[in-house]
Amino acid sequence: MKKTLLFSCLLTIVMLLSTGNTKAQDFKGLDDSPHDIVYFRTNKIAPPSIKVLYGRPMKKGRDLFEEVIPYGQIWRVGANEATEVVFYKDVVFGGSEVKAGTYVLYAIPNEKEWTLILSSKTDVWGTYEYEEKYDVARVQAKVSRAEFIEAFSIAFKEKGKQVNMVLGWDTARVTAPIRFDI
Amino acid sequence: MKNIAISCAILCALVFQSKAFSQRFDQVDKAPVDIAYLRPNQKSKPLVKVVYGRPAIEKGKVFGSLVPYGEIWRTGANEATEITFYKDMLFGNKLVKQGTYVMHTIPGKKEWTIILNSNTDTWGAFFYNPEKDVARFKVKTKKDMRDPLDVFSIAFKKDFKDSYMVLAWEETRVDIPLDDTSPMLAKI
Repeated sequence: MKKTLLFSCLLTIVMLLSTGNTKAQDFKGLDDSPHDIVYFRTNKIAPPSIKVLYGRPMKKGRDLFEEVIPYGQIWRVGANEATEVVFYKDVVFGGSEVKAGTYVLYAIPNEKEWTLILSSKTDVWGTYEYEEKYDVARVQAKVSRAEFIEAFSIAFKEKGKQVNMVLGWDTARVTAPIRFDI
Repeated sequence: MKNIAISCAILCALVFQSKAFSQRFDQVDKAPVDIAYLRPNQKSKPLVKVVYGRPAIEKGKVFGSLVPYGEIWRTGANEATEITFYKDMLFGNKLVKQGTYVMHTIPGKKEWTIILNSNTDTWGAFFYNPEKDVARFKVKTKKDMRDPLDVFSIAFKKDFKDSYMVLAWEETRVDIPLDDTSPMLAKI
């Protein structure tokens, strides 16, 4: 009992001190779900074809599709600021033609297929500002299974003339094919 | 000698990057990427966005040591620090057109050189080409002894009517003036 009291006192003090500091200085600490950048280039020294800037939440033992990203509900595909995708040239994204430019990527997870949405309303936080009228593409992407990964990850896999954007978390893998031949 | 070391580092970086082609999922970076926005108010569209890597001090001093004085620095970690201006602005009193740039700096004891360059989507400062400079100016450094920071940070601050982008690590602060309302902007 004494220990718990002492601990909560300490915790309160630490919290007060730390919030005090950030307010005074306006510098924030590192995010729990840090951002990351992933590029797709046709070769190592070529200018990029695609860039994704996204937040990387951890699973932390939670049941993802119950607690974190429930089936049927829109998700920011990351954490914090909405995930941003830059196409440096026109592409076919999962069957939909998309012009070169910067978009926000959303997803609606489901058991066998996810809906992936590209929206032209950029620089937004999470899914709170999502509006269907800004949709540029809405495509279905298949779910497969692979080894467990703790941190939500996005990567590219070249496959002949197309490249797959692969979203990976826990044992789920969601694959969206992208083509440049338009 | 140092050049050899740098070339080796580039080579390693390239070799590691190439692995990404077999859909290897990257580990979470030790110096993670972060985003800072300048918005006139919470609901408005952004004026400026910065995407930068955030290295942390592990031991010892940063400036003049880990980040040497007089040498170009990526001003973050990993991918070069990227700034987007959503409209034409004065950045360090230099006119900068709306667009996306890479920001490098040359730290110094008393003043830093700030460089905006149009060669974007690059790694570190290894691909720096002065011909692509868009702006280059100097800013005096300041110290904030009360709040030394372990993690490199970029934030925006308002001081009465003036806005600044602040680069901060340890007790060093570099306040870069920003202005989107100057009458000078109307002339272009």
